[in-house]
Amino acid sequence: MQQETALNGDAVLLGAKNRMLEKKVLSEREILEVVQKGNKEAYQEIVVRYMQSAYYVALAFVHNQQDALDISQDAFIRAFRRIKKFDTEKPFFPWFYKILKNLCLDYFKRRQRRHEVPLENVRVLEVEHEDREMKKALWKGIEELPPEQKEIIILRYFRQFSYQEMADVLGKPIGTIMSSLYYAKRRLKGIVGKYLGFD
Amino acid sequence: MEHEKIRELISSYHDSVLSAEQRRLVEEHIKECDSCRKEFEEMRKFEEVMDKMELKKPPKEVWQIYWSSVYNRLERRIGWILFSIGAIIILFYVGYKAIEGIIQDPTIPLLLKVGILGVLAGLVVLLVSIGRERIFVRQKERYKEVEK
Repeated sequence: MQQETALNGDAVLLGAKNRMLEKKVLSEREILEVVQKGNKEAYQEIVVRYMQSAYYVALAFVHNQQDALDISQDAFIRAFRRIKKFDTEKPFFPWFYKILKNLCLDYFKRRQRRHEVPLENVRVLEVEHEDREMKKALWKGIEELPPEQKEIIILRYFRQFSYQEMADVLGKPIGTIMSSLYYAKRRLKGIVGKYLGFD
Repeated sequence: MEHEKIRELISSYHDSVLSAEQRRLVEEHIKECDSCRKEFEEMRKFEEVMDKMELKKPPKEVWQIYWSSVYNRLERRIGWILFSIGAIIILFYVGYKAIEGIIQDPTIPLLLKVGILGVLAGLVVLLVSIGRERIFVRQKERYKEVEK
């Protein structure tokens, strides 16, 4: 009887939380606690919040819009299935990012096994006509960066992450982020310099 | 302060993450140092270029159906598992009935019967798997308008 009351109480709480969700007054942690009880509707709030970041990060990795959509959606599905293991005291995206990145890496392994065409030739940038060549060269430069520098450039310039957010997502101190960004920028500035006339 | 350290600070200057003290260090240094001032200007121009870099946007409809795609796939998972198990059992039963005469024939060696059942079971699993894949491919064609 007592257990039934507790369950009813839980249901009432869930109902109230769902109503609060509609009004968007719950914090991410509170939403994720509801999701951990198996509430798929609550998960919508999380997916909608992060779907564009997930898609663009995947696109920067895999260079194909359809595959980026599929991989980002797969990552949300996988995250939902593992959500009970997630520590709600921590932010969602850094945890989710690891799942997403692993799926992107799996994608590369599959492509390598199938000996598919290299990805450098696939156009993923919005490019204006006048600076087309420079941006193409710049993108090629980004592709050729060491993986950890490439990730930082993508998060910084294509998703406008702050240094703190990048540190959280990549699990590195801000000083390391700053330093990696410095070396990446130096390399990329050299490419831009050829087109803008830096000495 | 050494130039290399100032250049590292310059690289973060335009990201507005430096402390007031670090910004002051950079600003004072570039007043005195021509090469670091040049680096500062080049980095500013570089940031302008990078700020204009954009990945290709998908059509807006993609975001409208994004959640429903995730939701449907989450919802359908158990359905697919049950469907697959049921389809495998039914097809295997139908296949078994079709070759029942061979299996019950005492003149055919046991090893051959096991082989035939193995082929049948494999065929059924492959059929269900291909059927599911076809349905998935058709579902994903909703994105056919997305430019690759």
